[in-house]
Amino acid sequence: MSIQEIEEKVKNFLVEDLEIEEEKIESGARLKEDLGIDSLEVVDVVVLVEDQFGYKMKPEDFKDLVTLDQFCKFIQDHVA
Amino acid sequence: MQRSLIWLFRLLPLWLLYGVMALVIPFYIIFDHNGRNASWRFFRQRMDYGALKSAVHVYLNMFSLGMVVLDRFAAYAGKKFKAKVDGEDYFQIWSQDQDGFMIHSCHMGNWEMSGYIRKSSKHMNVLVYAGETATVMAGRTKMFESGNVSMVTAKEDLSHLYILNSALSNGEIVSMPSDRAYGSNKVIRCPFLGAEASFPAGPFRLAAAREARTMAAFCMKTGYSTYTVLFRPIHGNSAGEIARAFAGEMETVVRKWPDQWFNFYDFWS
Repeated sequence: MSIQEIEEKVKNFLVEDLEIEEEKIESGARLKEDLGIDSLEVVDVVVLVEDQFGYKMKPEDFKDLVTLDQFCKFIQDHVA
Repeated sequence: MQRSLIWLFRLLPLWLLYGVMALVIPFYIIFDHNGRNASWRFFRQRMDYGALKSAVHVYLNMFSLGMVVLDRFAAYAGKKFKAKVDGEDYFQIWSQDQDGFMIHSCHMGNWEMSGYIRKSSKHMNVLVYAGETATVMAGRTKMFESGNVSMVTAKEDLSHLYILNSALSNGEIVSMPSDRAYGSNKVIRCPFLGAEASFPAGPFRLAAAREARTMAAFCMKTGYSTYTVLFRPIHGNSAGEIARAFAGEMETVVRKWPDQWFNFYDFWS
């Protein structure tokens, strides 16, 4: 799956399911500070990743993920 | 002291310790201002009781709490309790499916006791809060082993939600208290007993995200050594819909057993 496809799927989810304003979603946006994804929203994100990409995220996966592009790159690296 | 209590229960009948507790309760009412006041407000404002009736029910409320606490230690000591179940069909049918499902419980009655007196055919993961004593945790572990139940400890960083999410996707049951916020200040406001109350968003967000079947469950003391377990399927697509359905079931149960309401704080603040 290309990085563009991953970014598109993630963006759709952030807008439709987490109701984040589309204007805030840029590749360099920080997950917590800019997009407001806190510990609770992360649960929704974990379910999304499992459903859409087939990868089960663990709590420690999020330690080094600060921005949206890092998150999308992480998915690309872990999805076959 | 808890170990002494378990030892006492091995020697003495339950009614005797209930009797001692009945004499001690007035002192709790006098000195536990916060609990007493919360209970008073609950009966006066939410149940709309008069002053005298409320005073009586504050005593009964504290006594009921004492009974369910003592019952827990009595169970650790090997005393047997009977279970009646209302809604067993739902639980059994859902347990036979390969999909997992969620149970939302609350601080009414004694939900923990249901894990001691019933065995689940499908593995159940129960969220518990840290901070209990080693004696209680040892007692729970021993009682849950035979009931096909595992405990998942709640953490401030909400990492327990990952474990529970995994359990659901593995086709297991997840049971979470869903009336008190922990680790997150995100809440869902629901009408409950005539006013809006805040329910923690986490349990309902998990259910909605996983599109898991959900039920409300309660275990109410209905006799000297009898508990009645109630299973009530609840429906909703969004976290808000599930939360409101759960609040509705809670209201039905608390109106029937108001003395077993054990949220001793201003639930509606």
